[in-house]
Amino acid sequence: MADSDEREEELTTLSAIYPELVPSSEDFYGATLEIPVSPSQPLLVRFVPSKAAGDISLNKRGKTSIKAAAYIERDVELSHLPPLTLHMSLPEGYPQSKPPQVQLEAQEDWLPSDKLKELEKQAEALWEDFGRCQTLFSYIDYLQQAAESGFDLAFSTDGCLVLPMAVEKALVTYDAETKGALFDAGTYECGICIEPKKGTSCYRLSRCGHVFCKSCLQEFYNSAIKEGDVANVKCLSPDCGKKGTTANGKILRQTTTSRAIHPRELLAMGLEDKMVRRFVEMKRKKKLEADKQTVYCPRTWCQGAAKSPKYPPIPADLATYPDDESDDESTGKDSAPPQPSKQPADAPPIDPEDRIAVCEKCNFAFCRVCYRGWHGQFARCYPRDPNELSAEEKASYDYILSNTSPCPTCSSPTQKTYGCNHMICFNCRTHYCYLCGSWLDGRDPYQHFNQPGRECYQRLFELEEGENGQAPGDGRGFAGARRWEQMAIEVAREADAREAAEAAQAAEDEQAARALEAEERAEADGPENELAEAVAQVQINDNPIPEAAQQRPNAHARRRNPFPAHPRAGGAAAAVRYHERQAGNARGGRRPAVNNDERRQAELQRFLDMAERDEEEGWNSDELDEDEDFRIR
Amino acid sequence: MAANKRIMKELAEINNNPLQGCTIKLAKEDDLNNWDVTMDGPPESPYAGGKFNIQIVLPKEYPFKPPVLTFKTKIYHPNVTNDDKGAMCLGMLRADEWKPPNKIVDVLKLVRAVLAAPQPDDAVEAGIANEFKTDRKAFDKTAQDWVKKYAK
Repeated sequence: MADSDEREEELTTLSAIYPELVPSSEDFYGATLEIPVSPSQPLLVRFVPSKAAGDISLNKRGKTSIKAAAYIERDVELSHLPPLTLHMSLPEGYPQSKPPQVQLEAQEDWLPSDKLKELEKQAEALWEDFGRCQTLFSYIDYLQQAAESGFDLAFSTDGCLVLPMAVEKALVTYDAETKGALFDAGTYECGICIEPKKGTSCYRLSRCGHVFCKSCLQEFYNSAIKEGDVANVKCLSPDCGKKGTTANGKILRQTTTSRAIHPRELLAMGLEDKMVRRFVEMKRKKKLEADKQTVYCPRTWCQGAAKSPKYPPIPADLATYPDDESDDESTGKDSAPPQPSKQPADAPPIDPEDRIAVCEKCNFAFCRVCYRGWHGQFARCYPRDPNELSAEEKASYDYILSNTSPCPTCSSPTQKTYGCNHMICFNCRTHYCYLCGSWLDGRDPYQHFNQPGRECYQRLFELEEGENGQAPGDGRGFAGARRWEQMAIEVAREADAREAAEAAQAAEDEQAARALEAEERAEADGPENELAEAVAQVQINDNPIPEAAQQRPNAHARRRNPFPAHPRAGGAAAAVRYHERQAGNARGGRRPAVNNDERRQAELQRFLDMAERDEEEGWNSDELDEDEDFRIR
Repeated sequence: MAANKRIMKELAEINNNPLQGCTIKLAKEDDLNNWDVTMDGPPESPYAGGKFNIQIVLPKEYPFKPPVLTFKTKIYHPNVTNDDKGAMCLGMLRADEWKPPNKIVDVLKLVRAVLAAPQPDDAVEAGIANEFKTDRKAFDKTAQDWVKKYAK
């Protein structure tokens, strides 16, 4: 048999076995074959800046374009690597006297050249071993097996293949593309609609590997997001995340696994951008709310959270949303639960520089300790619970208390500007009496004003022109807000309890306060009578706003007022009590038990002036919105 | 529509491959969302010999929402409410634990397992659960009595 026949025969056989074999155009006895590299165990590859990969002989393409400023290693597991190209040529005299000539080449130059050399040499060795006969098939088989085991690259000294970063992108892309192509070519049974679906209409969750069809996933996640059920946006498989196993049975590091789904994946499943955004926003909001460290903007109309590096704003491109480990309620790896700091969670940060907070919604800069507009780091400020009544809020309470009437059904405060005293609530359409707050029968509301003997008999048009209108001289006038009074007392009681606790803490402030306290005691010598009276008169038109305003700068003054509350006055705690008393003092002592009409009028006037000034000056301090005064926390 | 298709598939699957001790049919021919199940009490349990009628209502959102399961036959069991509803709410049947890939077959398997081995720590009837834990004999007896009375 002639040589040529034997060579030709071998190539013909090979091309029958490997239809992808490409005969060489120049060499009649030459051919090229691509050998896919998909190791059975994914190959661990470490990408390092080119400089560090110095010992690895970089081939022509290993250009050192990367400035190895920061040495960042990245380990990636790759299941598919670019194929090897095997160029074979059978020389004259093969197989009897000459070995086959082979040349190996790795696309993207990912295989170290010494490894390639080693593999090439194997062709001759095999040819010798087989007793100098046709060996190409065995050689290809050998290469395939070597590829299957990842060319034993994982057994090198590093335990992984070290490559320059320059090739990372190409390799990772190749891996992903190959995986994607394989996935798309497959058929899967969707566990939800129980139907076999083509890979192209399915989606594999990246973290756990479970596969469902896109339309089922869309339907489920869309409805979960619509209903606000953010916690349910995770893998749908019943056994996912249960025993810390993934679909392929691999044990993950954590006992319970991450099942949260990245917004990028939701987009890949075909969810609308709008939906995904809603999802991300809700999730972020939940986290913010769960974090005790979060401070909120003191502007009552805003109340946005302060900017925090822990919860970066949502990027415009959702695909770049950071991979957040804290998404996984169970991994508990990093920031998910606020780290137990040395201070209790709600203690203010000590460093004055850290006190500044900026609202992410309205950009208002404020102090996270005293909740006032940012005062610079050198100002001394005192903790204030945002729920505590500020002077503005107290003024607001007082205003509401004495100038509005609440709806008996929904408590919406109403202020009459003109008209009769038969009111219909703007909010719930309840009919009621502006003077006494009674519920009225909508079918005959005027009966209330028409029946002799009733409190409001013939008073339908009292205060017709609003507060400035004529009040009757008998002191029965407008009683205002009953429910608000209750609420104010409630809030004040809470504030009182907090203050008592605070006072215990602030022992160091005590000394400075003591002198003042003595002074005040002398002043408020007989507080009991007065307090009792004050409480009894909460309904009465009282006008303490100017005092409240004076009181602003001494928030700490309230703290040195932790007397155990008087049994009766106990309810009307510090916030209300204190400024009641102040009001009394300012008026030069006790107030007559019966309202005197003139003074009432004067007070009303003062009140309105105050309110007006309010709007103009914006209450001078916290840059609060004008609406502020009418709002209650 | 997709849901109907799935229910039909499930029904076909369960008819071709019936679950031991269960007969399943639709309560009404034209209503796929209403299943009528008759389950034999598992042998070796106090419910042995009983035939329990269970109604399964598949919500409109099925399989995204769990099926609702009720015992039409009165049963003395810590995990089934002892009223005219006979409701059962356990494990995968809970709204927050339900996963769409779960099937009715799985639900029925669970029911059978719970009949064979009540879960007193997850009970809806605390009294029965307590008896089950402390006085097993009395529990077994009442359960058997009820089987005779209601489940024959």
